[in-house]
Amino acid sequence: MVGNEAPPPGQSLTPHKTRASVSSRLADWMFAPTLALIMQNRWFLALIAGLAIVQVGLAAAGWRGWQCPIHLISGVPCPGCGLSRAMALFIQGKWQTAIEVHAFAPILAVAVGFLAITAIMPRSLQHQAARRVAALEKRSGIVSVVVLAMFIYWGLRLSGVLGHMPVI
Amino acid sequence: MPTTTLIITGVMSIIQILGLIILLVMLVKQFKHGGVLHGLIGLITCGFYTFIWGWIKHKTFDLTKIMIFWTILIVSPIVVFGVFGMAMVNEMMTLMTTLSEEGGFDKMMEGFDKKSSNLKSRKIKNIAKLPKKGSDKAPLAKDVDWSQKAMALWKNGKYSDANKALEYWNNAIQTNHKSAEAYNNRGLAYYELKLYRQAIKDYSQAIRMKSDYSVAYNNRGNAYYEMLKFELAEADFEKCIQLNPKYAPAFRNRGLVAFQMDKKVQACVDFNEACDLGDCEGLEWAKKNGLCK
Repeated sequence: MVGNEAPPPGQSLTPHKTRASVSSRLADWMFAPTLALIMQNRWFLALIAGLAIVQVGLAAAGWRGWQCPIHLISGVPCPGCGLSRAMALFIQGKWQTAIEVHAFAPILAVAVGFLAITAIMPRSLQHQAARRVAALEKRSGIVSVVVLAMFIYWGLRLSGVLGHMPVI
Repeated sequence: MPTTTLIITGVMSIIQILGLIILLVMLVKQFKHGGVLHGLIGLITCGFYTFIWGWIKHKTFDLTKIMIFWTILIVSPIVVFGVFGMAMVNEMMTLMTTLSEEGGFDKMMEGFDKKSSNLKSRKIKNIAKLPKKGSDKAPLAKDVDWSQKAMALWKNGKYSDANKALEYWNNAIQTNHKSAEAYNNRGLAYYELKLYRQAIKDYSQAIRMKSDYSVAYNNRGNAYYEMLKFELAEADFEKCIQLNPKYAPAFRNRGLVAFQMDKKVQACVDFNEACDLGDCEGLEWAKKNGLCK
């Protein structure tokens, strides 16, 4: 006998204070809070920020950390290939070289820094930040814009429009 | 030609190929369960994000085995170099000495290429002979009342063990207990596991099977609320109220959504309505925070 009696619904919801904004079923995935959902999970956030810092640290020291399986096997770099090294260069103050290696290094460096700071925040502040980021994502679709821009940039680099791709 | 170098190269090639296969499998799972944006982020981070996501969600999506295997593949190059590293250095030193005495790298490279390609093709054939995944899986016991087992876990407005509840509802649905209630109840398990996308799919399925299922509308509204999609949540709570005007939680939930959307007057009206129907939690909260009088 299935669901003889459905469990009573109407869970007690914890109120969030976030301004509602753009939402459309058609552009659902573009404006879906993504970064905010990561920020709501402390473990997820800490792992991403921590491992990203280790990865950039290894690249700064000239060591290889996480390697791209697509690039290793096919020889074709993926849209994010070179980001670790570019971010390491950016943090070292070699901004021009960093942008030459990967133009999105400054954006990603700021994002990783932001996640790292959020990861060590008290829980209440962390949730507050997550709500603000969710509102921003819903309003602007910023994560999907950056992701799509990276794909376009990748296409331009592969086609040679932006010169040769740096060796990674 | 040094044998250790050949072994390392062969092993490394196999590790890299398997690493790529697992990344592609995991990306498909991430697109399916996490959504398009999470999948794309996994792709642009060369699988780095996918790897972390996989470990965070391994229990929920039953990814433990594949994640352990992937982790072993990532760690194994360090072990391979640790074990064979010194032997390789010694062999390379001997080789360099021999080459400088006998001359030429060309012969060495020819032999290396042949052996390396033989090794790769042999391994690929072996993989192709492996039995299909899941062929030895035991069939589910049809005489077990999975739904009853799942319902036994529902205590004080939630499942005492959401993972188990999800497993039981999966079994119930697989053994042909495909009812709107089953989907709604599995949706609640997903909800507790914070898998709102999956929860919404199940609630929607329940609504498709039973269009006047007011409770499923309310539950779907809750999931939309957690995903911060307030407009969709509001529409679902409204539909629930329309189908069942005496259902207090839907009023309270619609009040909360109204509050999120800065419709404070509407929020108070809904909290009061919920209280009249016996659920005063929302109104108490609103009064405590100075929202309603």
